Amino acid sequence: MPIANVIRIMRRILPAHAKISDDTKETIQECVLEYISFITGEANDRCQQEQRKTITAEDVLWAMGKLGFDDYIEPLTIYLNRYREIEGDRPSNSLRSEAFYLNKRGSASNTGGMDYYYGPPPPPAGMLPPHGPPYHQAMGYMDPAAAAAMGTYYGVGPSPGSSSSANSPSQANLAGFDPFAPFKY
Amino acid sequence: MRQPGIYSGMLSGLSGKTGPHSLPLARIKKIMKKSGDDVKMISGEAPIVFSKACELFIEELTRRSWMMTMQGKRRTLQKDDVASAVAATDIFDFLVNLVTEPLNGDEDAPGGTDIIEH
Repeated sequence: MPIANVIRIMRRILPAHAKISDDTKETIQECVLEYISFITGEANDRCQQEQRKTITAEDVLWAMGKLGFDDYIEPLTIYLNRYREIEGDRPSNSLRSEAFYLNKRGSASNTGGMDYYYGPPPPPAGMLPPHGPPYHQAMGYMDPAAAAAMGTYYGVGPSPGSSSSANSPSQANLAGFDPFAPFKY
Repeated sequence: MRQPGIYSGMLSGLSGKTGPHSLPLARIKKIMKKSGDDVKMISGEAPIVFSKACELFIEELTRRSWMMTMQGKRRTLQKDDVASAVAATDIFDFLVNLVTEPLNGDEDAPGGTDIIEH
């Protein structure tokens, strides 16, 4: 793990006048390696229990929740969704078009059980999600209210090649569409 | 958990197809594979999540360590500060053996005998 990258991230946090001893830099670097191994081990255990061969992003996020890094899950989910949006039109990424939301404060338990609600990513402003296969809630975690909300959303949209004026009805619907509404506490 | 700036920092690693991510994806993947003999396959997105997660982890560990430095009224972040931060944080329990020197009489001696290569 390149130490320069680690130091750069540390410097974002530290005030300008702060100094870092050399053995601290190495220590933090080793901690990162340990962190990756720690989380991966837990994620891998889960894959094996479920007889899956591939560790997925969801497994990693689940492991983080289980091991106490709940606070990371929301920013990482957002980050991952952004990544999927940007990469979404690539053939290699079109297989995993499901994004997921988290249901954090209400049902995250200390025993590590996390509920992931699967659904389409929030649309970029003024646009529909990328063309492709319809989003499947394949994992079955969707609650009926959320499914209904998303069903409504997907019932509306401009036909291909429509002008910008035809976008406004969908935008009006988008304005009322709050993907997190079912999950508010 | 720091919230402001979370979007401004969030997208900085996504400006191109492969990066720049803060930590190299191939290296992360290698570390994941080494974590266990039975790690088989890793999806393309898992290292992406880790690259961001490691940033968050480094930021949190640094922040907590620096708090220890400030308590000591110092300006140089020392390894002992990291050890104190780890001891004070439940979720960092898995790091205790990594950051704590075995006691050889003088608890405050800086750890200098270990040469770690990566």
